[in-house]
Amino acid sequence: MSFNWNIVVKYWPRFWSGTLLTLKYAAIAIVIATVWGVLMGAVSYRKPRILGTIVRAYICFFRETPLLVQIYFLFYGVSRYVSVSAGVMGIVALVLNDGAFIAEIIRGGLQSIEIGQSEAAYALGFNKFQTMIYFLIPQAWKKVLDSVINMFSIIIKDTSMLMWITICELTYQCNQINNYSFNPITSYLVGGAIYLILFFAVQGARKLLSMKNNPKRAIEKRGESAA
Amino acid sequence: MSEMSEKKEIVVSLQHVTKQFGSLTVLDDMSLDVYEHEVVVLCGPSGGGKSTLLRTINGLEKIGSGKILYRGTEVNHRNIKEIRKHIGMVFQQFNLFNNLTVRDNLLIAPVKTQKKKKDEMLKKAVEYLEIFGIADKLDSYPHQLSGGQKQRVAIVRSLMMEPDLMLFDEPTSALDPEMIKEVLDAIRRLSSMGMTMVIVTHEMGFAREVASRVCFLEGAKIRVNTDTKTFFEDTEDERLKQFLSVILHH
Ligand SMILES: Nc1ncnc2c1ncn2[C@@H]1O[C@H](COP(=O)(O)OP(=O)(O)OP(=O)(O)O)[C@@H](O)[C@H]1O
Ligand SMILES: [Mg+2]
Repeated sequence: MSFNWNIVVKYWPRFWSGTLLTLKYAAIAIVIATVWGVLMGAVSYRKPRILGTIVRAYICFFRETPLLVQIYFLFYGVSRYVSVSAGVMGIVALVLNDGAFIAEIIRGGLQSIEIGQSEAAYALGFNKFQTMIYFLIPQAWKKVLDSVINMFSIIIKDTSMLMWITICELTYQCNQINNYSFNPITSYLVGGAIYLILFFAVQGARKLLSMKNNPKRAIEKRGESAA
Repeated sequence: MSEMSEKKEIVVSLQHVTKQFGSLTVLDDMSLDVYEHEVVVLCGPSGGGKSTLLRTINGLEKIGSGKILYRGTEVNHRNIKEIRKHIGMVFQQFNLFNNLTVRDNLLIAPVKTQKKKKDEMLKKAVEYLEIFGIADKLDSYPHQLSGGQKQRVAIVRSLMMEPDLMLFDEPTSALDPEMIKEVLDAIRRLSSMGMTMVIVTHEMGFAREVASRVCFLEGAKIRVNTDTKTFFEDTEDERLKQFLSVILHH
């Protein structure tokens, strides 16, 4: 038994629908987890009063326990009390888990900004919230952009856990194809290759973004447009 | 004019201000009045509390006891945000907003905290930049400027708020020698415009030229607080004499 192109062709619709579902969950989770992560990072950055302490406890719990345990907890535990679909629970799990990692990244970024930036803002009459929104988060975001985009790749891989709660994403489909074809080499190699393509797509987007952020290029561009 | 100056109003008044960091007393029962159009220079050895004193004036440091009056109103945590809009502060490290161009550094505070019109503020910003010789830097980011240019932008950023009082904490200490003059010139210009200022500096020649009054801080106390001429030429204080002889022959 070895790699077999016929299996790829025959089961391509399954690979494809799995890929689309993986993409859909990853995209939604990436957007919400990023917003959530920035929010939690900003709250946990401040002196840990009551809210800060709660947020730090949340971040610790979701970073230091397995994602699958969290998914089961939400899907079997919490959905007894709140009736939402497996898909929504899946997104919630990914957002809470990966959002906690993003929050830590953002907090690190915020802590690396010189205190003088906040002091200058306060001296001009800005309050803490405005200082965060106008100065600290934009600067932190730029510093940690690479790490956050790495998290996007991780989120794509994390969607494979959703197969355990009846979501027919790519890994689930690879399992199915293996069950029908009895050819694990082909089933999982193609699945893996598709994940790899998604990874390179994210890296490509990262390169584009970092070029846009690169000050040197910005100067060159301004020079061009001035000329 | 001389009758007028007798009736000068006090802009800021520190009354028996005490400040501690843990068990270390940094300001020990300090009192100081700053009058309108006055330039007060603070000097003294490192660790004497100059920066801390300056920072208490706009509430960047909380005080332990005593009180601070701004235009007769006691400063507290409720009114400090409003009062800060009238007090400009220039830092040793410039502290321009790194994520914004010069234009936005200058516009963001008046537009967002004072609700001023953006196009009017832009006109004003360009005028100031021209006065200080940096009009071509409007679209630059802070990291594209020299230290002297950054500090002049920082001064303009404060001026955009139409401050009633300006505070300077060693504005030239982080600059290369050839850039010190351009920043001192900018401050000279403010002084000739009649701006009320409190300046921490080690530039004694400059202090002698612009200050109306000089204070010598040492060991958490204001040891000497006198007019500029007396300060440099006629002091009785032994520690100040020592300090001056070291710093002037340096
Ligand atoms: N945030 C802080 N926490 C603890 N101690 C501090 C803090 N800020 C200042 N100090 C201490 O307070 C004292 C006075 O500091 P301050 O910065 O006001 O002195 P300075 O006169 O400005 O000195 P320099 O000329 O070195 O700038 C110093 O002993 C300093 O170590
Ligand atoms: Mg100092």
